Amino acid sequence: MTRQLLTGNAAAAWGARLADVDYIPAFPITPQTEIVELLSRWVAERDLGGRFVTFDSEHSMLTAAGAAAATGARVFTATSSQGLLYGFEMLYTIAGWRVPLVLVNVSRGLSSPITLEADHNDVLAARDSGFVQIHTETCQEVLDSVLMAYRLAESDDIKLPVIVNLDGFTLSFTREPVDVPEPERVREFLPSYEPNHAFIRGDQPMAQGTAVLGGFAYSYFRYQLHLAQRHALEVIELQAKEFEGLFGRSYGLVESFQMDDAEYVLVMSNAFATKGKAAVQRLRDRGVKAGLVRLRVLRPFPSEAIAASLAGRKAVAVVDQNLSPGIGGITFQEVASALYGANDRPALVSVVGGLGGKNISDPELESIFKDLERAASGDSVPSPRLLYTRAEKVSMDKLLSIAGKEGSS
Amino acid sequence: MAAFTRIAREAILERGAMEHPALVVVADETLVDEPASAPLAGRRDDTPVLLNVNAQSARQLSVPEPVFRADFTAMAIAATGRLSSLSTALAAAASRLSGLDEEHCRAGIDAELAGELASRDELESNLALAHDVYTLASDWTAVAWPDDADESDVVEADLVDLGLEPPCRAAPSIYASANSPARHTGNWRQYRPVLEPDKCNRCWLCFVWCPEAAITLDENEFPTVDYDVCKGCLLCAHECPTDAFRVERELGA
Amino acid sequence: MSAYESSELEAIKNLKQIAREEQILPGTAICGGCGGLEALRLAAKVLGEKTVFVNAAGCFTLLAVFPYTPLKGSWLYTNMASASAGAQGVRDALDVLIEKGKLTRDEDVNVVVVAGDGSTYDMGLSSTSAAIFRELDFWYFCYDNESYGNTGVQMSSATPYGARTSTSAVTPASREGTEHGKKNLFEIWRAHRPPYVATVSARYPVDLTNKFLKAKTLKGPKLFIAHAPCPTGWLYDPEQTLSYSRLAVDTGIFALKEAVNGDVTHTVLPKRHRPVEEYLAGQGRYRHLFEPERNERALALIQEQVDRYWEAVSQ
Repeated sequence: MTRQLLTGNAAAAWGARLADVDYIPAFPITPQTEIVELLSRWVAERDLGGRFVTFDSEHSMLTAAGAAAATGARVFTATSSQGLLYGFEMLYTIAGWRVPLVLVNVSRGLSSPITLEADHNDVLAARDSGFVQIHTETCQEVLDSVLMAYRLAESDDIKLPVIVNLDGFTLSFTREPVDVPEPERVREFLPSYEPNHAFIRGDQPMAQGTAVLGGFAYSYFRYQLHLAQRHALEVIELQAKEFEGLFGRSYGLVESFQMDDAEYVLVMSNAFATKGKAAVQRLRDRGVKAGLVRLRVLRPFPSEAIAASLAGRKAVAVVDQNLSPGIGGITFQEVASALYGANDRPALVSVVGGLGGKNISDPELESIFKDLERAASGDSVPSPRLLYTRAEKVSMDKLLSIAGKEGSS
Repeated sequence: MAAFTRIAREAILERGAMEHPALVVVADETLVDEPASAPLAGRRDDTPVLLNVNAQSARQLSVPEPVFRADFTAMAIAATGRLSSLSTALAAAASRLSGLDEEHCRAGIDAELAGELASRDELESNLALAHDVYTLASDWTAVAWPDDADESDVVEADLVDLGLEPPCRAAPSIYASANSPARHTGNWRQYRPVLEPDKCNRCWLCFVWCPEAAITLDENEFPTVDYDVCKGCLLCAHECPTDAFRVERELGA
Repeated sequence: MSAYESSELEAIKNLKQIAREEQILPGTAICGGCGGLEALRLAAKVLGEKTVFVNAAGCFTLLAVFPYTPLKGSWLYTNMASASAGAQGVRDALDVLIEKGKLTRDEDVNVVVVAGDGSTYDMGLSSTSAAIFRELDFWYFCYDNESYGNTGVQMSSATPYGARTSTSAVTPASREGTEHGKKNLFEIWRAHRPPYVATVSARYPVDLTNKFLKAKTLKGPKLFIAHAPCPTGWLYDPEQTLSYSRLAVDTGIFALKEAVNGDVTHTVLPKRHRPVEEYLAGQGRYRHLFEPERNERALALIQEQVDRYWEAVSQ
């Protein structure tokens, strides 16, 4: 094991390198590009034995990724934002083929307006595609999750593609100390891929991705995709235990932070969850029983684990770094649905913030806890609460004025 | 693939598959036993079936009564020279069975075909075809339309718990090789190419050009047509330099 | 690295040298009399069993419908826009697996894109351009039936001037139906300088077979446009498919040719071309050019385009 200062992007690339991937179809897009730059160099320098190919689009890139996985290769690819959406059709297609591969998505807000920094509308748009989704908080977790993603994707009863998500800039361009495990240790956890259900070879022809006519056949395959996803909940936990045994780091379906006696709880995901943890610490220092649940595996959605964590608390705020216009935060809907059948449901608050990388500041986190106290005592709070400070509003008004727009307040 | 036309005085509640048809029209009798089409699904004991049959066919399908049979294909070809007029013939027969006046049926055919046909003559020959069908069906008893859909006998479905299956089963892939001949497309055929070996000069052309690979060559290089799968495109007959293929209207399908 | 054969393969002289063994068996849902299937079947005989067809959405999606496949070889249905990228993924994966010793050379396959003109001329062009640019060792078989056939015969950028489709209706305002001429795909491909580009017609099975045999000796992109008369879309009786294949070549509206490393040779040259009207006249999609009165302007324009092409060839 070596300890290195790695960006989130470099950590993702190291994950692919340690997984000894056979094939890396690529296409540049900010803020993901550093991942494929590193991998292309490693392939050129023979540090990595696979093949690196730049495609004409993410749609082509994902097609090649799926096709190579269907042929029997271990495949890694990465994209971001518009690129994920440009290749969107193929996410559903590849998941339907039931072939394993790992796609790293570096989250970035979606056009329009076009922007660069992180939010999760891109990756959450793919939540119904059949890909497993693992959302990461630290650079270390990026590397570890890529390894665990391959182990899961290739598992006998699973055979599903996996998205590992990390935030653009806040993680992709942030260097942190990362333990890079020894390749031999990695091989203990992740043996080489032996395709036994989907392959292309001359002596054993098979037809893949065939059309089906008739809803009963279609439904069978789609139901199986769902059942495999649900089964993954169990497999993820078992493999995480094994990973912990080898590498000493522990990952669950969700992460509980200061939750033992917590009364006021934040539900967050990805890099900004660390800011939530800092806020929890502050409140704890003041004697408030605060806690945080970090959503780590978004698909399959660990409803039972979430309900078990949140039932019995006084109030819970789900902080979504995404926005489904017309309803609000996306994970809020899912957490609420997980809690519907629970006894002793907490008051539930929806918060939307961090869009396009906008900071979720310490004072804003304080406000969220204030909302939680109000909600716990039965007062109404705006839902969803759209985080936007007065200072931001003043700055925005200035921009509007420069843009020649009248009527700003 | 399915398409529907629905018309009712009341709100239309049934969508998709028809649970209890009052009349089933089968335009191709060979589809009766096809699990993929299953035209008689939902039929009750007393639901009449209008069946387009081949009058020259050696085989009679056993479809429980009440069944109204006629060779509408032959009638259509005789009246208009076009197979596509089969729709007109069947529409007229179904109209007759539904108790619709011929006048209304004619108006319907006029409205449906006006934009489709190239000339007034073609429309007239379709209307004449409808008249022939009404004449043929003059003694058929009209369908009894139920006052209300009787749904008191609907029972609970037998739902199963699918359970997780291994990916080798659960992906839409096919491990079997070249198994499509089991899917007999021979019932597409309206005409059958029949080889007259005396005329065959064993030139291979029919074998080379059959798009379907439905023609094989025997040890003496004579072609053999696999009627289980031949779709009846008749390329072989059309291209044969010695006219060794006789074309027969389909008999036993 | 791949399944190409380095030794020169002998060209065949007559059609009795065509393989008797079938690679694409009957029982598919493809229309009777399909000119595209006729050409693919002959091509597959040369390609052999160790082949994967990477399919783009189109009529031939119906070749493999669960649980049936007509193929002795393999099949991967990808999408409409990037079957060529799918071919790249398969080819690269095979190469890497062979390099790493996870697959033996015996298990290698020909990687063949199968795509209609809708995918090929329109949506899939970027992906194919990129694959040719990367010198991918693959085959591309375009069955050109000059429309989006599987969706009910809508206009594509391969639909010829003057043809009626379900989205280029003939009206008093638009007497020709399709107003634009088809893209010159052969030249678009050739401009990329692949080792091999050819047009083929099932009516000329020896020419077709020899072109695939020749391509077998070449590494890199091997691209084929198959003239694919379509009874369903062109509106003629299925038995006449080969009549239109023949007339297309005899009138010169479809040129049988190949380009080896960019150098073009015409492989079938009728002594004198017949009037193009003979090809157009029986097809329902051109009926409006003849009835109720002749559209002399359009007919002359089509003839002129054909003449101009052959004038350029003879120079």
